[in-house]
Amino acid sequence: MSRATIWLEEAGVPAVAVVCEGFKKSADLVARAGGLSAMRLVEYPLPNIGAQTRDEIFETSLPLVDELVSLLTHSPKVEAVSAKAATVGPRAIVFQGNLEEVNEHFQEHIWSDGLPIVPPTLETVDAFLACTDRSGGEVIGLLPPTRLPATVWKVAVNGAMAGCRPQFMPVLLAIAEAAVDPGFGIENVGSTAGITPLIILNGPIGKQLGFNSGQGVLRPEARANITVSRFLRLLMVNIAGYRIGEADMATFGRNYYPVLAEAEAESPWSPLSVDRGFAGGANVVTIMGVDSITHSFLTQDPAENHLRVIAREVARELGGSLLVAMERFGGRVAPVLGLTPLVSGILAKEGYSKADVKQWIYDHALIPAKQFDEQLARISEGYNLAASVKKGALSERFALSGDPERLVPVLHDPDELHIVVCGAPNRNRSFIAGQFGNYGGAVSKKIRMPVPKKT
Amino acid sequence: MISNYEVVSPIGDASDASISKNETVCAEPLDSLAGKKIGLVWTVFANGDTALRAIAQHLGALYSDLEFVEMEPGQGLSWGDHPDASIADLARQHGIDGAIIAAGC
Repeated sequence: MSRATIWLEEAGVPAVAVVCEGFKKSADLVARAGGLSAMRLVEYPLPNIGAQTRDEIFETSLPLVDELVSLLTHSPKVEAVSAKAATVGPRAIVFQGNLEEVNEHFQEHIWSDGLPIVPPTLETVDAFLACTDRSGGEVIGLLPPTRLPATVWKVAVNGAMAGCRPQFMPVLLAIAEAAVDPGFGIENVGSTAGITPLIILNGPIGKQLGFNSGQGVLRPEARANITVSRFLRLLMVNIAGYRIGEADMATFGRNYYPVLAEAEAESPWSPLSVDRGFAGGANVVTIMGVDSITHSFLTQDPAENHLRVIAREVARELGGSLLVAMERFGGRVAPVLGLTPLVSGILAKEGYSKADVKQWIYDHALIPAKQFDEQLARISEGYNLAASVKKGALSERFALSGDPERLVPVLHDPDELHIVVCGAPNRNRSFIAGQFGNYGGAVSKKIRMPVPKKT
Repeated sequence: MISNYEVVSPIGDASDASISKNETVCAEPLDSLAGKKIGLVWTVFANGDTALRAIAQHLGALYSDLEFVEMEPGQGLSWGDHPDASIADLARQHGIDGAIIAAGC
C-alpha cells in the first residue's frame, strides 16, 4: 500500500512508509512505477508484526524512531535504478540460440514461469497478430505495479511463449483487457495471501478452440485451458513485474488454474456470462483472484440434500476467511460455486432456478458470528461485526442480536455467488472457490473476434 | 540438426506507450518535527494500527508539542481500509505536515 506514500508526497507531504522486512523491493517497485524519485521507507524488523504482542510491537518500534525522524526531516537519497525494461523496439532480436539456450536465457532473466517456453520468434508472433485485426502497437493498458504497457504485440509474444495457438489470440486479448481493468486490481494480486487468477470462459468459442469444459476441466491436459491460463501468468511476470519476492509476495502461492470453461450445452440454466450482463451466446472471459479451490465434495439424493451439503461447504470455506466480514478488502466478494451438469440438473428438475439456488445457499450457509468476530479482532482490536454494521459497512443481517453464537451469512447477498456448470457430466460433486474482494475483483470482457478483411 | 531461434523480448517496455509517466519529486523535508502535525495512516495489515500508535508514543516522548491525526486512507474510507488517491485531499483537509504509513506486510 505504498501507493499512499506516493499520493502524499505528490501533495507535498513528506510521508514515510513502514513496511515489514522483506517488502522493500516490492515497495521500491511501486514507487518507481508511480514515478516517485525515491521512497521514504523504514523496514520493520522480523519477526512478523502480525505475530507480535502489543508490548513487543512497542519495544520493536522504539529503535525505528531516529530513522523516522531523519526521513521526515531530510530528502531521501535517490538511488540509480537499473532499467530492466527493454527499450529496443518490439521487433528487435534480443537473443539467439538453440531451444535449450533460449530457455536458459529466459529462465536466467525470469522471463518465464520455470517451465520451458516456446521461443517467441518474429514468425511465431506474426502468426498470432494475423489472428486479430488490432495493431501490434495498440496499448491495451498499463499493468500495475510496474505500470508498463500491455500491447497487442506483447500479448502475442507471451501467448506464443505460453504454448497457445495463434487462434487463441482474441481470448488472450480479452484476458489482457480484463487484467488492466482497475476493477481487477492486479496490483493487489501479489499480496501475501498468494492469490491466483481464475479465468472463466463462456460462449461458443470454447468448443471452437478446443477448451475442455467436462471431465477434469481443471486438469492440465487440454492445450487451450492450460496454455491460455499460463499466458496470463507470463503477462503478469513480464509486464506487471510479478517476480517472487518483488511484486509477488505470496506466502505460499499456487500454480495457475487451467481455464474454467463452462459446460453451457449441459447446463439447465443460462451461463455465468448472462449473470454478468452479457447476451446469451456471447463469448466472454471473466477473471478474478481466488485463493484455493476446495476438494470436490459429494452430494446425493433430493435437491435439498444437495443444497444442504453445498451450503455447509460454502460456510466452511467462506467462513474461514475474513473477506466477507472485512470491508477493508473492498466489501464485495465473488466466490465461484462449480456444479456438475448432473447436480445442476437435479436441482433444476426439482424446480430450482439459479437464483433460487443462490438464495437457498445465502439463507443456509451460516456460521456463528464469533467466528468472524475473532478474525476481525485479530486485524483491529475491538472491531467486530456489530461495529461494522454500526458504521454501515455490513447490513443489519450481521448483527440481529449481540449473541456471539448467532448465525450470520457468509455472503453479503445471494448474487455474490457465481455459479458455473462444469466438470464430469455424471458425477455428483461440486467445489467452491473463495474470492478476495478487490484483490483480484471479478471482471468480465467480451471476446472481440477480428472483422474479416474485405477482398 | 539443432534449430536456431532469434527471439524478441517478452517484457514490458515503457516506450511502447505514448502515455507519459508522472515524475514525482519527493516532498520537501520538514525543518524539524517540533510543533508539527503528523498523519498516521493504517492500511489493512495486521497490527499496523498498534505499530503506528507505538511510534506516535515514542515520537511524542521526544517532541512534546507534536500532534498526531489517525487519518482515513481516503475520502469515505475508514482507518485501516485499502487506500485510494483521495488521501491527498484528506491530508490537505487535516492540514498535516508529514505522514507515517503502515504500508506493507
